[in-house]
Amino acid sequence: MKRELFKKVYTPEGDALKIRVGDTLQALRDEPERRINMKKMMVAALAAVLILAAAVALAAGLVFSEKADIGLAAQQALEEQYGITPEMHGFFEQELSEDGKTVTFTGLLSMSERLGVYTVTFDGGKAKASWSHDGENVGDGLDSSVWDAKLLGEAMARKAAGEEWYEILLPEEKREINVTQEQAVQLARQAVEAEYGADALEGFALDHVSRYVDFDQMEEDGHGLLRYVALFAKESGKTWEGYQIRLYADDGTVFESKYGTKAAEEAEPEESPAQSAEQTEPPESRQARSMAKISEEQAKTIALEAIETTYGLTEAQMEQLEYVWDYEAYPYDMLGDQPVISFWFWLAQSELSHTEGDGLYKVMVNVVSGTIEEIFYDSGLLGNG
Amino acid sequence: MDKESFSRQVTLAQEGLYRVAASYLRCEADRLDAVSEAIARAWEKRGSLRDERLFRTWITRILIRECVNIQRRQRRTVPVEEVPECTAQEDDDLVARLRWALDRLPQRARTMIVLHYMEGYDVRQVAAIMGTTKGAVCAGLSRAREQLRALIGEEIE
Repeated sequence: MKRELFKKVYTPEGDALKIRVGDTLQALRDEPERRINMKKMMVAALAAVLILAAAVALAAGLVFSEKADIGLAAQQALEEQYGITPEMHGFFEQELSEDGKTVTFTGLLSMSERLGVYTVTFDGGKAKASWSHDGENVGDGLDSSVWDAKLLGEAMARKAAGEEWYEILLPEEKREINVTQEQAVQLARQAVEAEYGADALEGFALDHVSRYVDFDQMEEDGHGLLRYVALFAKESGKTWEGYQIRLYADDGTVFESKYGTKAAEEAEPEESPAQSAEQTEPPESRQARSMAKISEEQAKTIALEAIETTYGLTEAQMEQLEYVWDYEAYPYDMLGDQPVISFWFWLAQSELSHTEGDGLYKVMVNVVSGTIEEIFYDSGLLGNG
Repeated sequence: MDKESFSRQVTLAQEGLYRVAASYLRCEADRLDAVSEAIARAWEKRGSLRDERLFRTWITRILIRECVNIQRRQRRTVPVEEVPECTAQEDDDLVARLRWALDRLPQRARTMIVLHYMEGYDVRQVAAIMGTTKGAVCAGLSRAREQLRALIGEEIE
């Protein structure tokens, strides 16, 4: 989903925002400065690092559900046959078929074409993996249209080293920037005046300028994928007018210019009040909590053991694993007719760079049987986006 | 930072600030109040901003505090069941469906979604704005994506 579409979800009504901001700024310009007593805000605190318990209370030990087992077996087959490591799982959407015999790993949207789909099928207890790009030429570099595990690993290493995804994904000729933001604004002004008249921008102010990547144009217009968009706007009474210009960042050519105007809309009836931060617990959470036969602490111990054994974390890594608590998220839930509790853990071994094992771990534990219903790891290198 | 530079920065940031306020406050008037209060507060505190390149992040933090203040003053709660069902045409008005789905998310998750996916802040910046850790933000975004996917069947990229 494109960010520009997403932004339309919350749109100010008419020009009320511009007027209000304008009035506020005007008031600040008019009033003398004054001393303010600042009040410290309290923010939500997060739980600290847990220390792994010495023993598990359940006699049965660590048990994984069939679904969790199949998922882990599929991941193992994928690593053995295609080299897709746990660090790479965050780049795929994993899904188990209804009959429980097939697990698919689908490359996430921005990578879907490159990564393709891996499929692991189980037959007679044996796992067999295949790839939608089997038989195709993979190529040597990250400019290849197909990425195998080796290329994905190279991309991840560059991301971990601090590069941005557009620098990694776009070939050099597609990410050329020869126009600065200031130059882009000037070129946009000239474009408006050339098309709409020398005094078209009288009374207009620069509202917004930004640089963006247009991935949709991968195949097309002979220019790089980095573009600028500049918006000049003006209010006249209750009317808002704007000129929006788009230009290429490689050579400054303007490829789109639009003029728009908007009259103030009638005030709408006030909407219902927003949800406060103190939500009531959902019924599924209450039901799961009431059915629980093991305590939250016991379940958390099981979860931590599952992480340690599944992903082979060292003792040092386990000590740095941080339990992520959110007062708004209710960890108890119902999985079908089974009560479960979910735990999220975060590992960041260094503030400066990504280290193997860093990322997000989630474990879902059945609070009657202690079975691991779900376990996954996301290295976070895709940015959780 | 002089008044002209401050005004310019505010003008460029205003729509993003509105979207963040919208993640907290349902009523248009409250959103405008929050943005206006945040601007005034930011002006008063401008001495605390060490690097003008961090203006957006800095003023967004101030805005969030104002939104929370307004919520506390109002102490209004809408049970999830009262959030109206989405009436947008299926496969048609994706924006309306997304708005409906976002309204059903918990507060912090909704704000994380707005900051990360709408305003383009990375995880580290979202954590700094919301006064929390990167781990909490990653977990929050991951949970929110799961919920949104379940509600509207769309992948959030």
